[in-house]
Amino acid sequence: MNKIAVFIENSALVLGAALVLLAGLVWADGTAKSRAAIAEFERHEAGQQVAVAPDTQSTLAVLRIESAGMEVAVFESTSSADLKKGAGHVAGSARPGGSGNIAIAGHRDTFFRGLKDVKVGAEIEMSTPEGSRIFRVSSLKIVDPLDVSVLDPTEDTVLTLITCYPFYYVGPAPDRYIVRADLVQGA
Amino acid sequence: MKTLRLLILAALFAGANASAQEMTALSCNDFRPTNEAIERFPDLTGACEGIVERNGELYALFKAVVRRVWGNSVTLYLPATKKTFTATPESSARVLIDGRKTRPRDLARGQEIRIYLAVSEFSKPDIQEVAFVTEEDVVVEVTIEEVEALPTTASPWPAVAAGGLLLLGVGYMMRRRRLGAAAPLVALASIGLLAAAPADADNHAREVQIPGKVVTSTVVSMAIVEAVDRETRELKLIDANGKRYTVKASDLVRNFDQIEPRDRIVMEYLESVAVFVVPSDAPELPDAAAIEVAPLGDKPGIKAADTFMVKATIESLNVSDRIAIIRGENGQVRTVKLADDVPLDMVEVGDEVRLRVTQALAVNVRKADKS
Repeated sequence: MNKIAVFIENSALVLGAALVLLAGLVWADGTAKSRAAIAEFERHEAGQQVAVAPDTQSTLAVLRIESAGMEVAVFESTSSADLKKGAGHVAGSARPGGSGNIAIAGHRDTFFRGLKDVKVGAEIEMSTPEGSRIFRVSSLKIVDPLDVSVLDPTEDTVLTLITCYPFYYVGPAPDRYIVRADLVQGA
Repeated sequence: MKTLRLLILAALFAGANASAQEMTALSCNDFRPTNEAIERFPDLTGACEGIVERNGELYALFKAVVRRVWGNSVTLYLPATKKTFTATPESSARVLIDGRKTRPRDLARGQEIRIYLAVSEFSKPDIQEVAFVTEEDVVVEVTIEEVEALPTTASPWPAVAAGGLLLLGVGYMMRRRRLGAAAPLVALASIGLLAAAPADADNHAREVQIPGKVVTSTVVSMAIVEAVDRETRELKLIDANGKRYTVKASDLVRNFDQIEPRDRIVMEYLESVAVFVVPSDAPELPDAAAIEVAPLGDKPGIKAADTFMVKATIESLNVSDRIAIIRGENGQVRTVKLADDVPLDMVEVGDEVRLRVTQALAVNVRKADKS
């Protein structure tokens, strides 16, 4: 009996350490890729010739929300691979440099965690190859995942940031947190 | 796109058994639900999405998305009204999936259901007459298709990390329960995080696998040497309070030979600790038990302190400090500290007991600076 208990104890310690280590490595990998993507994007913005790494070549934009301490690279899609290293552009919505409803999604437990601290009126800077734009947060709301009305096209250029809600939840959260911002500066 | 047919025996939903549908020029305004329809399907109010024709009959079309299936209850979301409701079809109800009868409980989250209400049965005719009401079997057609939804933005890795931490916690608690205070070091050692720890710590980790007591009480004291016994490596000392006591120098004390009577020394030593107390008439402990209670010092390099059984009478007892003064059979008086797990309720002054005692053991001795 004692041997079984010791076996369970050792297994729990080893497996627990392995899981924590694995999750930490994935997080570190995603963070490193996000930073690399932002750095390359900024060098590209500055007009420097850069050899774009395969992991970062689909960077569409960089989002910055100073009030929430956020700086996130925006990638081509909301696939798990893209969301592991940053935020993702929601297919079917306007492109980050375009006009209309620009929808971007990100993980609530990594890159979009800071959205919980974003207040109405906060400024969001979006850098794209077409230039820099400033948006101002106009509303915050929680919706059902099936309520896709937040993706409806708009005449004005707006930014819609989407993440899961509640922010502190183990597993797939039941709702979505929507940050809507209006364009206030930039074409 | 797959087409399903939902056969519901008790008219949860109403519809017709038909295969092809066509949108008509009619609108939902032309569907004027009867009072019974409103009563039976209140959640569908305002959710009509059009009037379709199937096999020559008109139906009001409602779309819903399966949100949850719990037993025989199906929770549906109506995008048109953004409302959610739960329906519980009778147990005999069946869904037809590609011609096969299946239970509603086999519906899956995210499936889109199309519900058809026969206009002829559930809509008021222009002449405002109430029609129908039958309890016949009705058929609802269900269509599965990719449902548009907002992206899922929950990474599984935080949950993985949380699970890992939980397992670490469980493992740590089990180890702590088994080994006591030494558990943190041993837990780290076991998962390879203590690779840089000194070899002695590693030995310690292995040794404490043996069930038994762990004595970690070390004391630093200044004393004057009264006598030195080089054979037994014993020092007779007198401290600043005039208290005389004897300690044995462990092998770690390398400068033992340099210690002379009248030297002032600073010494770190394991206290004399009672780790086991039984009534004096208790049977002798077997050897195995003696091994189990062999105390271990927490000082690197100390494998085990000398222990011995002594029959003695308790002369005084300081419960708060767990200090006992005992008088041995040979009349020698000794002050011992009772280990934390020695139950104090089983000893009192005047009791004759047997104790397993660690001898006061010096582990570090140096001459004090003269001042």
